[in-house]
Amino acid sequence: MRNEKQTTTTPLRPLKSLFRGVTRDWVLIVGTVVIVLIAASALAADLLATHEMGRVNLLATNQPPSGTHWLGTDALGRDMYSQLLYGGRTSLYVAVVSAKLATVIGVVLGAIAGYLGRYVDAALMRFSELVLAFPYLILVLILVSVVGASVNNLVIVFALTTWMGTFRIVRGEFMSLKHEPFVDAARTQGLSTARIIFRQILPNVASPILVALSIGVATIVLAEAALSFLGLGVPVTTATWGNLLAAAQSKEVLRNYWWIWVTPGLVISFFSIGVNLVADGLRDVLDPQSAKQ
Amino acid sequence: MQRFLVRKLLVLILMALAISALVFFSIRLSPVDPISYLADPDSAISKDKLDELRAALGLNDPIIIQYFRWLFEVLRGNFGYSLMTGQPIANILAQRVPATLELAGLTFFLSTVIGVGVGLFSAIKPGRIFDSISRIVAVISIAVPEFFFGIILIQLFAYQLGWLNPGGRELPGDATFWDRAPNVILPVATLAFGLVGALIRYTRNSALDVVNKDYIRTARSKGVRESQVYIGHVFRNSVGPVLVILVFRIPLLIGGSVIVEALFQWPGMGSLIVSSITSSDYPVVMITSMFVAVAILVASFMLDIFKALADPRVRME
Repeated sequence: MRNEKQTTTTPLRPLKSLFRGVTRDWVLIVGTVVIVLIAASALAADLLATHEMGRVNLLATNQPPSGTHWLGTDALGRDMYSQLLYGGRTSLYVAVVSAKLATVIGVVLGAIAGYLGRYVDAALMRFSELVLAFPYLILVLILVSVVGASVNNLVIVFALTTWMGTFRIVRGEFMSLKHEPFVDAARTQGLSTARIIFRQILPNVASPILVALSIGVATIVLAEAALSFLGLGVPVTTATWGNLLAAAQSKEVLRNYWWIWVTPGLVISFFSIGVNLVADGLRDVLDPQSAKQ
Repeated sequence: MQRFLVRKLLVLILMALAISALVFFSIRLSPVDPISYLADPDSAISKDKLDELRAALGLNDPIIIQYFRWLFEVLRGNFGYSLMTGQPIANILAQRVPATLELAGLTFFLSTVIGVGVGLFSAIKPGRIFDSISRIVAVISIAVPEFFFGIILIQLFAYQLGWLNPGGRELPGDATFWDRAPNVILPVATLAFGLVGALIRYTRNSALDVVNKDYIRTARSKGVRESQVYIGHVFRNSVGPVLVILVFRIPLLIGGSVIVEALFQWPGMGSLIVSSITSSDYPVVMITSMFVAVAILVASFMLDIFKALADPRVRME
């Protein structure tokens, strides 16, 4: 009974109609433009940078923005503009790869829990609650302190701590979808359980997974920055947005050299706002009920 | 209801046990001799004395027995000793918890008043200028990293204007809360700013759901005054779901203020966790995070009870 009710209240739109809706929604457009600009400039860092990655110049430390250093230089004379581009590459690499890994974990566990139900579901739910009982940043801090903060370790830590949202969404969708006629049809045809889960039901859940993935990327960019800010993130020799912003921990920088901390902070903020706009826009396009509001 | 309660309570206890086991075995996996945090540092002087202590504390027993003995001690409030300072962890927590509660309590109050107020107000005329502005504020609040916002506040109000202090909780001689105000305002503002966004959105959507209900139309057609419609009907009916979100926020505040506490050198649980992690003080890290995790479990347990009381369908599940 309960499950029937759920399926009628959540109409699912196929991914195709998404692209028709996109043009209507300016929020989605603005968000996408911001993300694409930032991501593209980070990817093209080698072409766009005016100075070598991490090039120290002790003759030009703490310089304000000028013709040679568009966004000024930091305490070691590194060009902030170039550092931001290279830093973006590392930050986005960490965020995108770990968000994807987290999505894979969440989707697989969520699909299994939602489809099989019963004890498997109960056990996986309790497990996700156990992970959720620890505040996100504290969990990340503890794990990072155990495995050490290299770029790849961070990817693993973020993947292991960010899958629960996707897990819950996918589980919920599977619980209502498994009673649909097309699943019964697949079952009577004798398809294997794995095939039903991943080939028959999963494609119908693509849209909410996409939304969760984009939110995941923003969450991890912010968490990486927070971690670096606490001095526990990627080693300072590698530029990341968080490492650049962490310079603001110094009172001297904060008081006298605004260009060192304002630009990384703004870039992180714009990127995160962009992702949130896209996620909101996607949600509106995919779920007509929330768009009405 | 009784069965529901018992089942939820059982789950709570099992989860708390799982967390404690996780914490116990993680500390044991770390490369630290348990004697160094289980025994009072003053009593551990010589090698012979250490062996004696080891036997007395039962460190030669099977690990499972040691776990239950440790659990029993923890339940009695004996959490062991810090590796860095040698202080009992219970004493450290006793110093840190009030600072965090002060920050969390004020933030909770401020963000609730602002978030719910703005959310309701924008639901009265959706799409109008106030609503549009509050939507933009909500996006910024959710998306901008709170430490960046905090840095801007420090730069503005502490360094440029010199009105408030950039960090710390109290100076020697600060007796009353008003003496501390210059230190409290900035961290509270930073934390609250990060929280209001979701609250504005949630309240607004919840109120909009109610506005479209039939009984609101009925009230209007009966000639109830517009202000009375909003205060007596919309507000009262939309505040329920918002309360659920609010209850869930308390533990997030307690454990989630890590960054803000570190930024403002606020001597609470969050900065305790960070400083113990940087100094590899594993026992303190584990006990503190266990504390926070169990607090969150208890809060979500109370949330379940609350929901079950409000909605009988929840109990049937």
